[in-house]
Formats: sequence, C-alpha cells, structure tokens
Amino acid sequence: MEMWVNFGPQHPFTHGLWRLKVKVEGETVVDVEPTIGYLHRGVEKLAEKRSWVKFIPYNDRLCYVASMGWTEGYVGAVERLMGVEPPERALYLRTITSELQRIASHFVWLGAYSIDLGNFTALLFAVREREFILDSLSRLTGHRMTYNYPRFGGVARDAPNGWVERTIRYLNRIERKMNDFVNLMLDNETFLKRVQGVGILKKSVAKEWGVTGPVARGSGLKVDVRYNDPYLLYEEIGFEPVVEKDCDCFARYMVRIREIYESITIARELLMRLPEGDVMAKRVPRVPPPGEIYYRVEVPRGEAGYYIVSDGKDVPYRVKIRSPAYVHIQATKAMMPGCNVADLPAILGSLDVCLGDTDR
Amino acid sequence: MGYSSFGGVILKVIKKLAGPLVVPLSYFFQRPITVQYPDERLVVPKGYRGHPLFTLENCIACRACERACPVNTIQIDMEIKPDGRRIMYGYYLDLGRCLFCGFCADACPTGAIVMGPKLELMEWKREELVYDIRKFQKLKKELRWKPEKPVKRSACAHPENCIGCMFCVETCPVNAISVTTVGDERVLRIDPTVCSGCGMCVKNCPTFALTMTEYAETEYSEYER
Amino acid sequence: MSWYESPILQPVYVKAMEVLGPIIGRTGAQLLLSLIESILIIALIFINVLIIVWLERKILGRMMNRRGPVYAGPPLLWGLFQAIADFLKLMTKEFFIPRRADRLTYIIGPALVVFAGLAIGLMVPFGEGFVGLKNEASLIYIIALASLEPMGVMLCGLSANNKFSLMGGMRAAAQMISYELPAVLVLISAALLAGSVDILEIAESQSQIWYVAILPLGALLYLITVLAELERTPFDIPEAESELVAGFMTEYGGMFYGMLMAAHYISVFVTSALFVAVFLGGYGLPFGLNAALEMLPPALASLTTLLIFHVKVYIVVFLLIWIRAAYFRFRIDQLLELGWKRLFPLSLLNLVWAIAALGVLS
Repeated sequence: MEMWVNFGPQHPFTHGLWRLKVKVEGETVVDVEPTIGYLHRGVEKLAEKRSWVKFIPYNDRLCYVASMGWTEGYVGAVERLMGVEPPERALYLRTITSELQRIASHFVWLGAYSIDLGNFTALLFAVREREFILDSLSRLTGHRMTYNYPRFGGVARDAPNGWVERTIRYLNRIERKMNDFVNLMLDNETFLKRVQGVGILKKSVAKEWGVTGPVARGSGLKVDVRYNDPYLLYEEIGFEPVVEKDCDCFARYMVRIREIYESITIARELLMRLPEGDVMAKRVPRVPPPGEIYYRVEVPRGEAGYYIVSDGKDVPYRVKIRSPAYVHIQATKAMMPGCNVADLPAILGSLDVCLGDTDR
Repeated sequence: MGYSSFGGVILKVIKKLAGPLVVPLSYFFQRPITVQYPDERLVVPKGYRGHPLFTLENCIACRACERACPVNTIQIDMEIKPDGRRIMYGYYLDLGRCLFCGFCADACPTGAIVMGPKLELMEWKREELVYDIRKFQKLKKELRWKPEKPVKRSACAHPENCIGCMFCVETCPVNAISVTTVGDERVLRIDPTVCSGCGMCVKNCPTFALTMTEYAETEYSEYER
Repeated sequence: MSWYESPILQPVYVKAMEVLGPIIGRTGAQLLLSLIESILIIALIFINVLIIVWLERKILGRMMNRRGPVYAGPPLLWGLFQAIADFLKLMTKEFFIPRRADRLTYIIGPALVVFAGLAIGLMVPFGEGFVGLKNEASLIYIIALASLEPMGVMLCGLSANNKFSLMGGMRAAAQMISYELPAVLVLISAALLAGSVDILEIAESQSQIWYVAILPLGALLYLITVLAELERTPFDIPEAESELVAGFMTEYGGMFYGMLMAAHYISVFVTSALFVAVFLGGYGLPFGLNAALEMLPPALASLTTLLIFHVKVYIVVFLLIWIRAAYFRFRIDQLLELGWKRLFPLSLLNLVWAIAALGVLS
C-alpha cells in the first residue's frame, strides 16, 4: 500500500523551509519529491539595483549560518575583476575568519544532527563551544552573525588589541572540549547504529549529481575548492582535504568532525603568523571595469560560486550565485529510495542543507 | 578462544555500553554556564554594531549616511539656503528596515552617527521603530554616550555681534536655543544640556557671534538683544 | 507488614474500627478504611511524582551544563513549584475532543494508562507498614496489570482519527509488548530466589544480601526493559519521533495531555520502586543491619524504612535520567530486534542462572 507522506514546509528535522514529499510503502521509502522556494527573497535581482559596495551585506544573509564564506566569495570575485590585491594582513584575516566560520557552522550542524537523533546534550555542547567563536568574531567584526567584514581591497576593521591571544586561547579550549564529544558520540552504540550503513551515495552517483563539499568527500571524491583551485592563503599553507571512503552518513559525519579539527589547526597557525600592516589596499577603483568572472569558494556546505558580469556602471549587471545545497537537495532522489522511513532524519541531517543559499 | 582475557572482554563491553555516561556526569559537577538573562547580562564588546545612534555631534548635514545606506532607511529633511546655510529639519531612521551593517557610521565624515551597543530595541508598534532626532537624543542620554573627542557645546562668545536675526533659533535641530521676551528685549538662551554640538548654529550665524566651546556642566549661555 | 499492622497506623485503625464498626458493620468499616488508605498511598505517589518531575528537570539540566527551572517557587529555592505551575497551566487549557474521534475511547485511553500505573503502585511496599494492598500473589497481579498499559496506549492511538496517531500507537504497543516478556522472566527469576511471588516477601528476603549481587545480569536486563516500558530515551520513539509529531499523544491537549504526562512519571516512580523492591532490597538494609532498626521505637523505625526506600528509588531515578542525557534514540526495527533477539535469550539465561544460584545457596 503506497502512501505519500508530507514532511511539510515546517518540520523539526528538515532544517529550513522546504518540503519533502516521500512515497512510502509500508516502512520503506520508494520515491522522494523535494520542493523548495519558500525562502526565495530575490537576492540576485536585488543585486542589480544596489551598487557594488552596498550589495556586500546581502551576501551575509544568503546562508546566515556560514556568512563569512559567502561574502568572501562576492568580494573576492569583484576584486579579481577590479584587479586589486588585498595586503598581506588582510589576506590573513580573511582566511582566519573563513576558517573560524567553518568551525562555527559545523558546530551548528553537529548540534542539530544530534537532537534529530535524540540526544539533547550534544546540542547544548555544540552551541556552547560555538559561543566562543562568535565572541571572538564579534570582537573583530562587530556582530555575531552577519559580519559584513570583507571589503574590496581588504577588510573593514583591524583586529583590536589582544584579539589574537584571546582567539588562540578559545581555539585551544575548543580543541580540548572536542574530546568530550568524541566520548559522547563516537563510542556510543546507539549513535553508530543509526548512522552507519545508512544513506549510501556511491562515488559514481555522487559524481553524476555534482555534489560538493563534505557530502562528496564522504563518498571518496577528493573535491575541495581550497585544494583544486586555491584562493586566499590556502596554497601557502599546503592544504590537504579530508576524504573518507565509506559512502554512508557516518563517513560524512567523520569528514565534518575532522574538518573542525583541521580548521582549528589552520586558524591557530595563521593567527600565530599574523603579520603587521594595513588592512586595506591603497587604491581601490570605485567600480570594476566591464567584464565577467566566475569565482569559487569553499563554504562549509560545499562549493559556492559567484558569476558576476559588470558593464562598467554603478550597479552589477548580473550576479549569479551557485549554491551547494541546491544540488544536495536534488541528490536526495539518489540517496533516499530504499531506506527506512526512520532513517530520514539521519540522512537529511548528514546533507546539512541551509535554505538561505538554496532559495536565495 | 581468541579473547585476550575474560576480564578484558568484560571491561571492553562495559566501556562500550557505559562509555557515553561519563560526559554528562562530568558536566553534572561543573558550574552551569547559564547567564540568567534579566538579572545577569553578558558584556557587549567594544565596537559592537548594535544599532545606529545619531548623536548629532558635529553633524554637518552632508547626507553621506543617507547615500551610504544599502536599504535607504535614513531620510534627512534638510535645506540649503541660497546664502549657503544648511538647516536640518528632520532626520528619520527606520530601525525596521535597518540592516545594522554599519555603512552609515563608516561613511560619516565627522562621527555624527555611530553604532551603539544597546541590544533590546523592541517596541510595541511598528511606527515607533522610526527613530527621529528626539528619540535619538533620548537614547543617547540613556546610554550615557560620550564622544571620543572632548564635548563641545555652542555658546555665545560675542554677544555684541548679535543682531537678533534668529537664524540660530531656526537652524537648531533640537531647539536648544530658545527666545523669551523680557520687557521689550529678547533674551536668547542656549541650553547646553539640550544642545548636541552639531555646530549648525555656529555656521549659520551671519555675524560670527556663536562658537563651539568646551562644555562645563553648569554654564548656561544667555545673551540679550 | 501490611498497613493495619504498622506501628504508626495501628492505633488509628483500632480507633476507627471502634467508631465505624457499629455504624456500617465490620466488613463495611474495613472496606472504607482500605479505600482511605489506598487514597493515602496514591497521594504519596503523587507527591513523589512532583518531586521526580522536579528532579528530572534539574538533574537533566545540570547534566547539560545548564540550570533547570529557576524562577517558579520561593526565591533561591530552585524552581520547586514549576511542576505545580505546569499543572495549573494544563488545567486551564481548553478541554476538547476532536470531532471525528471516538469519544469513549478518547477519554478512556489516558485513564487506563494512569490507572495501570496507580494500580501497580498500590502493591509496592514503600516502607514498613506502607503498602496499599497485601496479597500472597502480588507479583503475578503486578505483571498482569503491567500489560494494561500498552492497551491504554493503543486505545489512545486508535481513538483519534489520525493516521499518524494510529501508527504511533501501534509502534508504542509493539515496543511495550516485546519488552514485557524479558521483564516478566527476570521478575520470575527473582521470585524463584525468594521462594514466593509476594513482593513483600521478596523485599524482606533480601535482608542478608541484595539480589542485584546474585543476579547482576538480571538487574541490568530489568533496567533496560524498564527503560523500554517507560518509553524513555533511548527507547522514546513513540514520544518523539514517529512520522510527524508526537505519536499517540498527538491529538491530546489540555488536561488529557497532563494525564498522559502524569502517567509517564507515575510509571517512572512505580517501576523504579519495583526495581528497588525486587533487586535493591526494598526498604531494608543489607547484611542483616535491619536488626539495628529494631532498636528504634517502632514508629521511628517505620519512618526510617520509608526514608531508605525513597533514597534508593531516587538513586534509580537518577540512573534513568543519566541514561536519558547520554544516549541517542534507537530506530524502531533496531529496538524490536534488541528486544526479541538479544534480551529474550539473555533473560532465559538469567533464569537458568537463578536456578543455579538457588541450588548453590540453599
């Protein structure tokens, strides 16, 4: 007996505002049909009416959990179009904040995943550790969530006194506390049974669907913009992506956990090497010359792309944003049929969709 | 039989089953990290972009903040008279549209609008979210905001130059200069607690009777014409 | 001892019989007094429920590095009245029955669940002289009543005219039924050791050594089945995750929801009390220390046993809350597999162990 079950737009474990219709036969899922668009705000159209600088805060609001990466994408793209190189210190600060943002975003994912699977303690743990990163970022940029920090030619403000030491201390603390969490989740049979062997996305299928980010790296693809197409300082520090071979939810989970550790290491190393200097380039043109550019960055959810067309005027001609979660939501059609209905939270959580950038 | 020892196996089984119990117990004996909100608050760091605060100190009515805002939330009613005087009639900032991005504070050349630290900005009605000059002055007093440069207030340095044109009264955006009639003379009074140091009256006085002076709390500046 | 032999209440009983006997006859007086006494035991259970609700919220909070309720109640007294505040809130909510639901089963469902919990509670010995009903076969009676709970849950799920409620109710019933069997086998093994199916006898025969030392596997198994019967994490599928909202409790609001919550905590208290009575020595102390209690005046000894019992029950409740803080939720098929494929053979093994232990000990 087949039945369409509706995980409607408002649902505790779909993490965002989208609709998933699931065709169920008994307890097995036969087909899925995702519907998005509930959060569409017309950001790409708004870009055509706002000037180049005024559009920067809008990028923060695309994916509000991981805003630094998206702003970096837009600003980096326009900088390449303008031909402006930010100074050393600005590059360091941008990389450091991108990595800090990656840690914070992965903590949000961790907490939400745990509570979907039934444990409240890990959610509070993840949110508590994230508070330290948000505190550090709010001292630097002035806000906890939508930072509005990168600017054309550098960053908006310099780090206040004592910020570097404080952030290194926070990072050390987070690294220590991750042990707690390894004990709570990775040794826990009840967690491993929910997550291992579930939501298989084979390597070839993953390549066909075009998934990126931790979803692809959990299926054995060595796909990471910081490795394939380095930007900012990733080439200098010799970046190696984290790849896992079993293609299930547990592999994606381990990829993100290892990425937290890796980001802590990278951020700490860069903080200790932070050079002195200006944070803003000397000559920044007001508008970029006519031309077009496609620029990719690695946001915590995958690969984000900005395709920007300029015709020399005050406002951009076209800003097209490529979102990773848009593809991952489509990939549910490959992952879900054949699984148990009770596995849906585990699979959806491991995809880590953020509807802000999917719907734009 | 392939196990190292029976005790070892039992220990492994116990660790696997009861391992996760260690962490919550360790939290049980630690101090909670809760900040009981209305009674205790976290300190907001310096430079926090909580909300824009139009302090009116040294404002020259250049309208740079209005042009810099991405969502066009600032509205300034001002007039440039033919003789060059700039009079500001009103300044409206809709907090409901504001993005708290800080571009207005970055664009202001004199530091008249800054970002303030207040976090609780709720109102009961949507219309009350539109902040005009008076609301900003109230907010400024509530936050006890002090500018970084020394506080300057307008005062009459040369009352002999005053010709009673009342341009200063007309210009002042906060109505700090008031006129009363004593007998058949007019007395103009500048109230330094209301004056916000924008300096427009000084710029608009045709006879250079007014100046900006350092503010000492108990002075009133009164002059007659 | 049953209640009318207890040192505190005996003089009251005698006086009451003298007064009421001539009015309604001896049997009538006995029935009336039994009824009053049952109501007193139920009141004791409810007081304990309030304390357990508070304990759960505070202890769970502390284990997650936060405070629990803080403001309700006298200042600086840690939110003691939060349960009462919630109860009052639920009382003032709208009393509704969905239009196409079956009215009788909608009302009977929660009532059955509460009734099952309370009826078991009447048989459990809370202290010397604090037992509601004394009977030689009380363990059998308890096992029989314990299977009334899944019936109540199923009625709740069936009555609301809601597809998801139905499936939630079915899942809850399946879970509870599959964990009944290991629980019964473990209880029988303890009864074997004691030589009787009377809970009082089982509790009193642990005066030398507690059964948790003789049957550790049994105690662990019983703890796991208790978690599954109570639908607590890691087995809280019906409550938290069933396709959409809240499983069999979806269509209940207001005081019915309050009744279902109360039934949950009553079951927590009563099954922990059962665990204490069967494995942790009831209201006595081990190694023959009960003799020390005899030296106190009888009323004080009786109250001390009450205190000892409650301390032990709260330790077991702490264990249940601790498990809730640490573990994740099982999937329904993994849960049923656990019950049938792992716990059932282990409980048979436990039975064999008990027989062997009986042979060794006697």
